[in-house]
Amino acid sequence: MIATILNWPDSRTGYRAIVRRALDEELPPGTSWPFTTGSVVTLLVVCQFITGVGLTMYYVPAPSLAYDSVRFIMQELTLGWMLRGLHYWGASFLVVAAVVHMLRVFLLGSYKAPREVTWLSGLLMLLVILGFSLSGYLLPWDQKAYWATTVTINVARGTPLAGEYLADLMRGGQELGALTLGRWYSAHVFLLPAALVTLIIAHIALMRKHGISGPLEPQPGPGETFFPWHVAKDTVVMASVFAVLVTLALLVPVSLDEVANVAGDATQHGFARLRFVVGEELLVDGFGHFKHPPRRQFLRVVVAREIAADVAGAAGDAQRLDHVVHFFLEVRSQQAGENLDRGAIDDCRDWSLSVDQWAKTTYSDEDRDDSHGAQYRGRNRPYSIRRAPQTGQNATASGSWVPHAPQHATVGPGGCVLAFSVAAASVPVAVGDCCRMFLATKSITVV
Amino acid sequence: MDVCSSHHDPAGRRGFLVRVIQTVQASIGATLAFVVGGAVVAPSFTRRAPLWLAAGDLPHLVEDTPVPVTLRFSRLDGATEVVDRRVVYLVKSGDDVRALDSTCTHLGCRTRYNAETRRIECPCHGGLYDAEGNVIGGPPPSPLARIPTRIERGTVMVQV
Repeated sequence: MIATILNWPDSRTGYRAIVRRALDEELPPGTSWPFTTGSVVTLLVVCQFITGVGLTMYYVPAPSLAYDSVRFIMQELTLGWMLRGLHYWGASFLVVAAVVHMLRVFLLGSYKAPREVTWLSGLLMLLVILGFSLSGYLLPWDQKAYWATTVTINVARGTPLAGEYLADLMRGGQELGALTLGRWYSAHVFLLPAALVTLIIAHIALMRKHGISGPLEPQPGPGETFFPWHVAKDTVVMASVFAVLVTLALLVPVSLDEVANVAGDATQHGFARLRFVVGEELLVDGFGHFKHPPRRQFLRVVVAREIAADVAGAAGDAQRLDHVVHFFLEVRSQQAGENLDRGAIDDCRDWSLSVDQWAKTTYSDEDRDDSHGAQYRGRNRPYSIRRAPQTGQNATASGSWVPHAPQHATVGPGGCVLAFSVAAASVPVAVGDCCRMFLATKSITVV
Repeated sequence: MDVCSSHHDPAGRRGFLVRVIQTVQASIGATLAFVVGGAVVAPSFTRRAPLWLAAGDLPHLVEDTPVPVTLRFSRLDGATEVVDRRVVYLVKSGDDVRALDSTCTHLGCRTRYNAETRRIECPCHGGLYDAEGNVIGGPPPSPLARIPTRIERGTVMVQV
């Protein structure tokens, strides 16, 4: 019966031959698990598209309603919390998967001739994926979103010559508001998806044209067909990643900060999660003027400090390590409804966020000003956000934030160390945040 | 090279793998479909709790004449709360009162009462109802919907 139904479209379109041609590709011998990373990226892109469509049905891209619509999704819509959880965690997974895929391509030399254009299309896709993360961050219109976008736009403002125009273009004017939200939403749901789909088609077409590169050392023997032998490996990895994604979405609720408030204090709203205070590193002063760092330092400076953070101070600070241990001991001994000493959490996060100190002590070729590092030890950690001095060129109205004066940060070692640092940077804070959110789900009151 | 003629493995192993792949990928799809589908479909089946609203005083109604009354009530509309309006006809017959929904049963247009002809008319496609809400002309397939009413201390209460 089913075969009869499927025969008709096949007789009219010949789709079976197309599918067979797509699946019967012979792979080089030795093509194995490392070559499953692309499928994971594909799975996550599909997940993001599907959950994004679901979210779009309820999200309203207007400052007066954006926050309420996200709150509605989270609190009132059936399965809405799960929907947003999958989209939220899926976004992070997608960035990681794309980077892992890129590393695989790099390490196995798949970018070499004749696959240079495939590599470039992949790089463009990575940029588009980062664009998704950036534009999606503003949409909840909570404090974190607002201030993160403020910083992001200030980063763009540091672009030589065109910085101011670029910032105005991103904002849709002089102020961050309805026009900003509208264009970022439009980019998130129309422009970037169109770009990504185009690039995916091109990427896959190029991949099919040149074939999979295979292992570094060519192996003897016959190859296997893509389906089902390699698809089976793809499916195992995809299912594992998807299981972790669903588990995270189930167990770790996505937070929603207070509604965006221009007069609010950015330091009070988990802003530290936005790690790239690159504006500082790009040496943007209080008026948005760009100060070019020494050319040899430029790229290293951009990537440095906040991103390459966290792995940090523990090694050089036994007291903080002790606090971390104490924190986890406290967590273990707590029962639902009991109070948890906020200080332990603070100390844990202090430790995990001691980015600057680590960067200074490890990679700096100059003595650093300890007055900045001291802020990380305070109870009200401003993390990487600094109050402008009330005198001098960075002075602004009380309560506002401007990137502080540059410290001429330099990073000494090469790309490998940096890459490792970037990868490791997220771990401590992520663990800390997960613990907090897990405690929240267990009704342990944090005082 | 055709998948069916794979020279590495017998058809049995291949067939098993294909079924495993299909099952796992179908599970991933089903999970996504459950979450997204649930969120998309659920509001369609959500029913608002009925409200009893005061629609008018019984002595002020005219015998056997539909009196249009606009009811206003707030309700949740997604993330926002809106004030909704609904027009009903109150028809007094002795000590009894009937309430008729003003929505045409043809294609949902708002009807109006014509006092001269003593008919309820639909402006969209010419549907005609008498004062009792019965169809007397045009395309409407059924009478105007009756709305539950009750009288409390001389006030007509209508359920919306």
